[in-house]
Amino acid sequence: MLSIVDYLIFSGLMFGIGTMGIAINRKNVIVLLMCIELILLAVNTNFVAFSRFLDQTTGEIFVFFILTVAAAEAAIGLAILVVLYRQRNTINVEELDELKG
Amino acid sequence: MEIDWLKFFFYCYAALALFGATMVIFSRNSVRAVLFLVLTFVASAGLWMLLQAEFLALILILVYVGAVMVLFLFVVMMLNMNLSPLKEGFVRYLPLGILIAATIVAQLVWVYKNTDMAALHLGELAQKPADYSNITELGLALYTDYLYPFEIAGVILLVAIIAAIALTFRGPQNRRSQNIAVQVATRKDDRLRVIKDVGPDSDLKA
Amino acid sequence: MDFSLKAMLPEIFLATMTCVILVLDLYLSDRFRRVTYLLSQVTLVFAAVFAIALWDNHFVLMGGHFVSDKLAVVLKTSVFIVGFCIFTYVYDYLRERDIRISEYYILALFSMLGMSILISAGSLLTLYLGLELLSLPLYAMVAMIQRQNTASEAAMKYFVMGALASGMLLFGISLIYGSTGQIHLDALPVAINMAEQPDMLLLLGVVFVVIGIGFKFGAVPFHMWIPDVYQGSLSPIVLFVATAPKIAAFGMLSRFLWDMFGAAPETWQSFILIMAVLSLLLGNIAAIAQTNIKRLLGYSTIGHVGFIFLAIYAGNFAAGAFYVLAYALMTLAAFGILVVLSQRGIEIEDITDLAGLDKQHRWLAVMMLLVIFSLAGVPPSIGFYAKFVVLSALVDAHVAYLAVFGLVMSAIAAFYYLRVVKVMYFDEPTQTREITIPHGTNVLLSINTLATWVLGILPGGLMAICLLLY
Repeated sequence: MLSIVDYLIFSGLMFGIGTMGIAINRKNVIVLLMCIELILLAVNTNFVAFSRFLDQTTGEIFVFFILTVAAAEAAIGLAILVVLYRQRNTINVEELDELKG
Repeated sequence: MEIDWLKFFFYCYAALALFGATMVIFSRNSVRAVLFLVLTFVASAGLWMLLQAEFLALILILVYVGAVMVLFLFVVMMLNMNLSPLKEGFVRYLPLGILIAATIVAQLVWVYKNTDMAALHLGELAQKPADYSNITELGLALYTDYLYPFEIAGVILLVAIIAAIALTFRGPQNRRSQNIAVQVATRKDDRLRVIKDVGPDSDLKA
Repeated sequence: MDFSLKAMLPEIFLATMTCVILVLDLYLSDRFRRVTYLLSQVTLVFAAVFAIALWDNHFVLMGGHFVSDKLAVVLKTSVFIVGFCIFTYVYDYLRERDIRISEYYILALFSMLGMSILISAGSLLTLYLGLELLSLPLYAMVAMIQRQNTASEAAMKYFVMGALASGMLLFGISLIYGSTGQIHLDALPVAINMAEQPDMLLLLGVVFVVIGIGFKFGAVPFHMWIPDVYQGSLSPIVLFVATAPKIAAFGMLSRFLWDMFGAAPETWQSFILIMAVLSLLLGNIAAIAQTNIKRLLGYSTIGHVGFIFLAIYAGNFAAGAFYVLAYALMTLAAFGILVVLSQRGIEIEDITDLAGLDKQHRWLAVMMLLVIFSLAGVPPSIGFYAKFVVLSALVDAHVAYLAVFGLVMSAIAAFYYLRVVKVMYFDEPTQTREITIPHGTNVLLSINTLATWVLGILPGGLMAICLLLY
C-alpha cells in the first residue's frame, strides 16, 4: 500500500533539492528558474497526495491553478532573462553585482 | 513472498525523479539541465498516476513538458549559453546549500514522522469505483465552485502575455518603412557638419 | 449561490476598463497618448467610488472565494487613491523620457486588480492567485524600462526572490490543507479549533506561510531584494513598488493571521517577533551608510516593516493598519518628490543630487523637509503618531522592553533622515537648474505632503476607521 508519508518525504526531498539549487548556484540564472520549477513540483506533489488521501478534489484543483500560474511565471522569468542577456551579454549570477551596498 | 507492485513503482519513479532533480542543479550544461528537468517531470507524473490523479498527471506532461520545458530549451538555445563552464565557485557554496537543504528536509521528515496521519483522515487511499472519472469530477468542481479563481487565472495568463511582449518586443526590426515625421523634422545641423578649410601647413590635414 | 455581483463591482470594473484601455491604446497615435492616462485615472476614481459604496455591507461570494468587508473597503480604496496619485506624479516623467507610458499604466492597473483580489481573498487559493497577479506585472515593470543598465539585474533578483517566496507560501498552504482539509479562510479556524491542540503539520504550514509573507514584505532575513530593486529601477517604478503593494501585503497578512489564527496567536507570534526585531535593527543601521537616496529609502522601508510587524506581534492589527496607511502616504510623497525632481535629463540618485534644493525650488524643499520629518517620526506628524500607536500597543501587551527598543531604533533613524535635510538646506548646489512642476501635480503633491502632517495633528478619524476594521 502507498502511504502518505512516502509521498510527503519525496516532495520534502524535492523541495530541499530546489532550495539547495538556489543557494549553491552562483553561475547560471536559468538554473535558478529551473530550481523554482522543482520547488513548485514539490508543492504540487504535496497537494495531489493530500487531495487523494483526503478523498477530495480541492487539492487537485489547487494544483491545476498552480500549474497555470507557474507557466505564466516561467514566461515572465524567461523574458526577463532575455532582456538581461541582451543588456549584459551574460547570465552569470556572480557578475550581477552592480547593485551592492 | 508477494511483491507490492504499487510500492515498487513508487520507489522506481521517486528515485528517478530525485535523480533527475539532483542532476538539474549539478549539471554543467544548460541543455542537459533542462532535459533532466523533463525526466523529473515525467517521473513525477508517474507518481501522480499511481495516486489515480490521471488528469493532472497528463496535464503535467502535456503542458509542462510539452510547453514550458520547450520554452526553457528555446531560450537556452537562443541565447547560446549551453557551453558556459559553470563550475567554479561551486564548492564554496556547497556546504551552505547542503546545510539549508538538510535543515529543511530534517525538519519536514521529523514533523511527518511525528504526525498521526490517521487522525487527520490521511491514513489510507480511498478506493475509487470502477466507473470513477477524475476529469469529470475536476471539471464539475472547476466550473462551479472554482469559477472565480478560474477567471483570475485567465487574467494572469493575459498579464503574462502582455508582460512578455512588453519586455522582449524591440519594435519592428527589419521593416523598411519611412518615418515621415522624423524626415521632416530633420534639421541641417544633424546632417551637415561644416569643416573649416585648413591651410596646407596645418597638421589637421594629415 | 448568491449572485449579487454588486460587491465585486470594483474588480469587475477595473478588469473591464483595463482591457478596454489595452485595446484602445493600440489605436492611439503618440499625440493622443494622454487619453490612456486620463482613462486610467477615471478608472481608478470609479473603482474607488464603487469600493466605498460597499462600506456598510458584508458579502461572501463566489463559493466563499470572495469576501467584501470593511477591511477590504478601506484597503482597496487606499490602493486606488495611492494609484491615482502615482499616475499623476509619473506622467510627465515618463513623457519627457519618451518611455512607453501605456505599458506602465496597463501593468500597474493589472497589478492593482491583483491587489484588490488579494485584499478580498476568502480562500487560500484566491490569496495565492491575487498575490501572483499583483507580483507578475511588477517584475515586468522593473525590467521593462531599460534606460538604466541595472534595471534588468534588479528585475531578475526581484523575480527569483518573489518566486521563491511564492514557493514557500504554497508549501505552507499545502501543509495547512493537508492538516485541515480546508482552504477557505473562514472554515479554517473551525477545523483548527476542533483539534485538541494544533498538530505539527499545521504549525509547520503556518511557519512556511509566515516566511512567505515576510519575503513579500521584505522583512529581514528575507529583505535582500528591497535595496537592490529600489536602487536598480527608475523612480516611477520604485514609487509604485514601494507603496500600493505594501497595503495589499498587509491585507494578506491580516486576513491570514487575524481570520485564521486569532484564536491561537502563539503559533506565529515568535516568528513575527524575530522578523520585526531583525528588520528594525538591519533596516535602520544599514541605512546610515547609504549614499544613494533610493537605497536609503529602501532600507528605511525595511525599518518601517519592522514597526508593522511589531504591531502585529502585539496583536493590535488596527495599529498595524494605521501604520501601513501612514507609511504608504509618506512614501508616496517622498518618492513622488524624487520623481518630480528628476526632470530635464537629471535623475535623482544620490543624496548629493539634492544639494541646495532649497535654493533651487523653495516649496519642493519645504515639502521634502515635511515628508522626511514625518518619516523620521517628528511630532506631530503622522509618522510620529503611527509609531506612538504601535509603541503604546506594545506597552499594553506588557512588552515594554520592545517599545524601548523601537524608540531607540527610531532615534537612529532620525539621524540618517536629518542628513538628507542637511544636504538639502546647507550644501551648495552642484549645478544651477530650473525646476518646473505642472500645476496639477504640484497641487496633488502638496495635498499629499500636507496630509502627512494634518493627519498627524488630527489622527482621530483615520484611527477610528482602523479600529472599526477588527
